[in-house]
Amino acid sequence: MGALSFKSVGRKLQSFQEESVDRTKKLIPIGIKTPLEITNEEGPFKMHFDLVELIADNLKNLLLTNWGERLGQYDFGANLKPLTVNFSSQDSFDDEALARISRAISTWMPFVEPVNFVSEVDRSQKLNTALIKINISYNIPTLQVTDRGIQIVLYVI
Amino acid sequence: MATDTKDQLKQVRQRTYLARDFDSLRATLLDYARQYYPNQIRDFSEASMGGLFLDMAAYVGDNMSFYLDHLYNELNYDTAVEPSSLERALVNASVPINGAAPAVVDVTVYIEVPVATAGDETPNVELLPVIKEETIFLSDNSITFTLLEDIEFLIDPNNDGNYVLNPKTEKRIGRVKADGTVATYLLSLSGQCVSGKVTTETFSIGAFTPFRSLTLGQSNVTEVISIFDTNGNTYYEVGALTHDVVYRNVLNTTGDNNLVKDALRVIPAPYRFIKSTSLIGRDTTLTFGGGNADTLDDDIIPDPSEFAMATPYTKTTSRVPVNPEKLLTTNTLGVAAANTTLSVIYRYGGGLSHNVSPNSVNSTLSLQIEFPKNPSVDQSAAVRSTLEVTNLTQGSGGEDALTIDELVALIPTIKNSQERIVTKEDLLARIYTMPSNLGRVFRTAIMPNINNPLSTQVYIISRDADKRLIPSPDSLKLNLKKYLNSYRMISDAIDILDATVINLQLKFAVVLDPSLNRTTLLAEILSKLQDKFNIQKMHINQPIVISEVVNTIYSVRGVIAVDNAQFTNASGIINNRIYSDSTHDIKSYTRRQLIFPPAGGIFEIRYPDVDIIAKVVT
Repeated sequence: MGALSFKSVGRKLQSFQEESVDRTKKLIPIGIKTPLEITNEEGPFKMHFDLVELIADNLKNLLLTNWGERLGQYDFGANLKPLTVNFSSQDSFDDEALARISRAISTWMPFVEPVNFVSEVDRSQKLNTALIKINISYNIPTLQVTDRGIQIVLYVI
Repeated sequence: MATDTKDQLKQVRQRTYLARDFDSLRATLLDYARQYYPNQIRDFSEASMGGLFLDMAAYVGDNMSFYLDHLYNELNYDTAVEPSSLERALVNASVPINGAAPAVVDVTVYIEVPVATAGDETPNVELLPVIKEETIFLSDNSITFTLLEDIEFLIDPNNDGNYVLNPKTEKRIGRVKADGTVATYLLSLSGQCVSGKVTTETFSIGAFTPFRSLTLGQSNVTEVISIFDTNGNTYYEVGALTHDVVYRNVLNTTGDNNLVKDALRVIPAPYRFIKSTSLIGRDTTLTFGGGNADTLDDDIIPDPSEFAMATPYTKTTSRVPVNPEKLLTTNTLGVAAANTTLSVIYRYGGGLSHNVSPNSVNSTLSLQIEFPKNPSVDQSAAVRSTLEVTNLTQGSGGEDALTIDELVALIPTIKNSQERIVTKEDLLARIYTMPSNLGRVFRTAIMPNINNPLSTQVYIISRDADKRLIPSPDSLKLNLKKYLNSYRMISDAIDILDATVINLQLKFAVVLDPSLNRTTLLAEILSKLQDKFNIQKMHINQPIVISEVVNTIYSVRGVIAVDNAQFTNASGIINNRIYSDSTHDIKSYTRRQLIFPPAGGIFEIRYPDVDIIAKVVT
């Protein structure tokens, strides 16, 4: 049997796919996913491995947090809930909500660039007087991510 | 096997213990997480869950650090802020916590007594009464004053039944008959009263409880007059439950009683209690002894076997244990009341408002009167109906309760004094903490006596109800003398003297900013000066710094210049305002912008509303 050169050794498709799966598993977790989910895979909680997803998660938490809810950081959050208590008209709500969201993002997540704000009041709910759905689109210039969007829902009390 | 020290050190996680507040704890936790868990989590920004967990941990650490600091501060009276900690510090330092002090006033009682037969030069001795102690008088501002001693118009000097008119009685002719003969005489005699109310409280006491505590219903208790139970036992107040005797003034019945009224006697006090006052409510708690009267031991030498703890039978015993609880049930610390009813009679109330002005104690609330010669009911009623009372002198010694800050300031001096007057600070502390029922000194200063190296001169001054300085009354000085005597060294002498009050007037001219309201500026200047010369801030021998006064005026925004600030001495009566009679040559006592009082003197701006005179010049 003649000598074989290692140069001609290739890789089988199966081993390549298995290695790819292993590589995914070895990705370093960046942050904790919310809502918290208990898991035994990568630690006590489910984690984010994608930075863009993590930023979306953090942004949602920021917008849904009100002042005084965060221990040690009194003014953390967009503080939108008080607006729902004094809700009178959508126009006045939009003006103030826009300002608060903009201020919160520029203070706590300055790397996010909010682009569009659309709110919709849904009065068909029976348990509450109304729901306010806010859709925000944003860019993350440093990651060259554009036109991402999230929706948050507020209950008018 | 050799061990690699480097590897071992690598296993030790570096921790820092320097972080104390939220920010530093958060930063330290962040460093720690980044250093030791880089592969588990990376996002600790404020908006992330990791940041939230860091904040929570830092918040908990910040709280714990705060309370640790707080608890540590509470251990020291200098830094403690909680009343319970300060109270503990005061008790540990033996600083007495007193309520408001009552005032002492001399009242003069007047009666009109007929003569026995027309033309007599003395009133009818048969009709002379004795006004008994505990008689209660009332002032115009509804303050009650209790008589502390009998006012005896009739005395038996030789204890032989031959009563005569008390020679101290002042006698004036009362009514005169048509024929010119004297019908009645007006007699007057003085006695000392103390302000406050006397009340009796009863407590039902059940089974034996060692060191039972009872809290009295009224605050500002100045004196527990007596405690007795239904079994006939009298309870005595002692400084500590280890004291088994008390010293009491009893009537001197020997031949020299005209010279010495009271004699000091030692009385055994098996039933005893201590009194303590709370810092906040100034409520008084009485704590009784720990002994059980049923096991009152008559043995001079106790049997040690009674205190041995019963042990189960064993073949070997190393030592016989003693039951410490049994030691507490002995009567060494006094006998506790059990299965009886206690009656507590005490006096309470006091304050600056009790320093009543002259001629304001004019009515009698409860008269205790006795006629030693037993005249007829009509005769005694006739004399009783003529009784009138007034106070010729001002009440003094009444003071509001010392504030918490004032009490705490006494801790270092009292801690060092150890119940003996050794240093100047000891003497000061003793004077300021004299029991309030003996009166209260407002300011005191201590100076050496240049004529006697073993003697110390103590200058004292009191205040009246209007918070103006008055010389301390003689009764207060006598009480102070007796009080200090029990603490002084046998070879020391203390001269108690009145501090000289120097009343001042301040005149000055100011140039004010013309764009500002002149009246408002002047009011502000006067307010600041009145605060500066508040009598609470003045002490005996304290000089006045003229430049400080000028600076006070300059501190008002809008004052451009101060010209010719001058102090002058005010004495005697000026425009119906009564000043101290003492005069003081301000000019000769002024050196380098400092005005000094005479030795043992204190400056006072007696009427701040009129004695500070400002003139606006342009």
